[in-house]
Amino acid sequence: MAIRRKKSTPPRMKGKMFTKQDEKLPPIVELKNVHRTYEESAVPVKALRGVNLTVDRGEMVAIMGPSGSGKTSLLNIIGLLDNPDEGRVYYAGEDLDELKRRKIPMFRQKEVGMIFQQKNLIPTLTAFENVYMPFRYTRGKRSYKRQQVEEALRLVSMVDRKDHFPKQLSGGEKQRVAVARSLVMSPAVVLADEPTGELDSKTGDQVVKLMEHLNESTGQTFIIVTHNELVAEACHRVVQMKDGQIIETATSKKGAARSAAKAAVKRKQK
Amino acid sequence: MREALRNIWRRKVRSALTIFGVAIGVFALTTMGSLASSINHSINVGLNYYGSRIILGSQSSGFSGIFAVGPQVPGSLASQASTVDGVERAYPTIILSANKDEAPSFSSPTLVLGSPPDEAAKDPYRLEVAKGRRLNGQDRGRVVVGSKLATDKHLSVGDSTTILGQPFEVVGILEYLNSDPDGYYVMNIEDAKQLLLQQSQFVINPDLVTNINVIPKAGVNTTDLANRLQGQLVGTQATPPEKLKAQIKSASQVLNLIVLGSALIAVLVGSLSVINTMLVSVGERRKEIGIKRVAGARNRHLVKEVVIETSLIGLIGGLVGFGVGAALVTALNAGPAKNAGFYFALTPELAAIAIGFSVVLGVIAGLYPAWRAIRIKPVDVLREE
Repeated sequence: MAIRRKKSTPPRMKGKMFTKQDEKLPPIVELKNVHRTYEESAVPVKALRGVNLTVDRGEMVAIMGPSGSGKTSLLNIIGLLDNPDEGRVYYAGEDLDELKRRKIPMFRQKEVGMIFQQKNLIPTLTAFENVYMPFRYTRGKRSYKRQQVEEALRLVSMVDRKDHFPKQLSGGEKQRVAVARSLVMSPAVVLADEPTGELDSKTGDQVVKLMEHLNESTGQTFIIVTHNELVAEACHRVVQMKDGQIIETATSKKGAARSAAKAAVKRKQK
Repeated sequence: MREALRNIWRRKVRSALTIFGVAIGVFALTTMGSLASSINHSINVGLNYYGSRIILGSQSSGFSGIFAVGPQVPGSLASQASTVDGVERAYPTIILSANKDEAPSFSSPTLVLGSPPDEAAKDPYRLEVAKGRRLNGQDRGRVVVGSKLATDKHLSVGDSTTILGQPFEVVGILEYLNSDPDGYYVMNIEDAKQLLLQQSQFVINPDLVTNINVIPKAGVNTTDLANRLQGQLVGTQATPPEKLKAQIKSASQVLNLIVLGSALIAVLVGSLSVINTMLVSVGERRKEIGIKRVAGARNRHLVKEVVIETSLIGLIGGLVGFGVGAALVTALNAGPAKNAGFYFALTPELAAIAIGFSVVLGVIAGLYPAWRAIRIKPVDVLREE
């Protein structure tokens, strides 16, 4: 099964929370009854127990919960870094079970951008080279790739620091470079695992604002695992997890506004 | 490539030690290899010389073939050998040490080689003169000197020299062969006979020579001819070219094996240090490998990155080792080695082998660490501290 990026990736929608096009397309991510148990330790750990989750295009979703609740396991499965023992994962309506194993890296590269906590840049590469990295593993014109990297660095206001190595950057700058790298291939979904976890509150706030801005300006979907209330407030929806299950889903003010916009589009269609 | 160089630079001491390990191996390969090249060159000269003749010596002396010196067989045997079917011509040769007190060294001893000049000139493979002229049948008290001897004793054409107490005039200098003849005094067999008689403590038959050089007719089976010679000339031992070649080769093979074997072991040990370094390095870079995986790196990309790094280590080690080795042998050739009577043959082939081998070993050394790298799962390492 060939998954074409153009089909699943929405066009850039500057400043719009919801469009007619979004309504016609299936959810960008859909999990149905996903289970994951880790057998590595003496006692099997049930990390996910029947998780159902639907994320719309352009949505910004926070996943919260105590340590060991299954947040990262869920993110790893959405990010195709891990496979569920049971259940189905759909990307833009496509069943990932049908995706051939050798196509997974290519799919992940084009459709999913990932941001982690600190220490996620390659120390021997400059900021530019770190952002360029996903392009190293693809074909295409070098000039185009370089242009995309410049654009991604511009989005995170790091063009001036592009020739610096990670050790020459502050924590916030490193995370901005990581954000630029996650965006450079224009993925449909950006997954972030505690992106502010190792940052001070001021720098963390800057990173959150950056993701919020990118979500609004590019229309990319953000799924963020976090303990940070500020991050949650910036999202449309907050999913609470406990013991491998989703126990609560709450819509934020911002999410409510988005829902209202969605309803307005539906009414217009009628 | 740039990233690989930065990774090597990132752990300077570790990389330097690994490169040093490879460099030592390649250094050994360069020096030992150039010594072996020199030996092989010398052997080839011997093979060419002895490959064209049958050496007829004494069966009872215990020494035969190329290692015989002193009085062994009567010179009249040459005329008898000439009558045997398949023989084109035969002539006597006297070989004796030119310096009784010569200390043992790496080089071949200084020898007197006496033969009828007109006969020796007709040989299919003959010793060529670089300066002056060859000997002719009328030359007495005249000598052609090997190139090393000429250099060591500062002899030029027209000079006088003393051999075993007798004065000789130098009429020619042999071309440089990097082989035994570089240490020869080539003279008329009659002069050599005088020296032999003069050196002997006991009265010996004045007709005795060291051996008879038998030149076979073209197309004759030399092994069969050697058997015929031995059968018809009682008490003689005829050594055909094949056996002479085997004698020469067997003398060199063990030395070559030891010399090159020890150098190869040194290079292999160097490559083990590359494997060790890369394994540690891959272990340290687990998280980076995970990030690359997430960015879309496939197995071939990771293997390529690791192998480029190890082959670069191999290449740098190879260049350093070869450079130092080449500098050393060049210096030795100019001084100590020359004085000790041996020579390092530093050839372009050896350079290509030494550096190429270090790169190939670098590539091979990278395969196992690369295999370890591709087994790293991003999900296992991305949350590692």
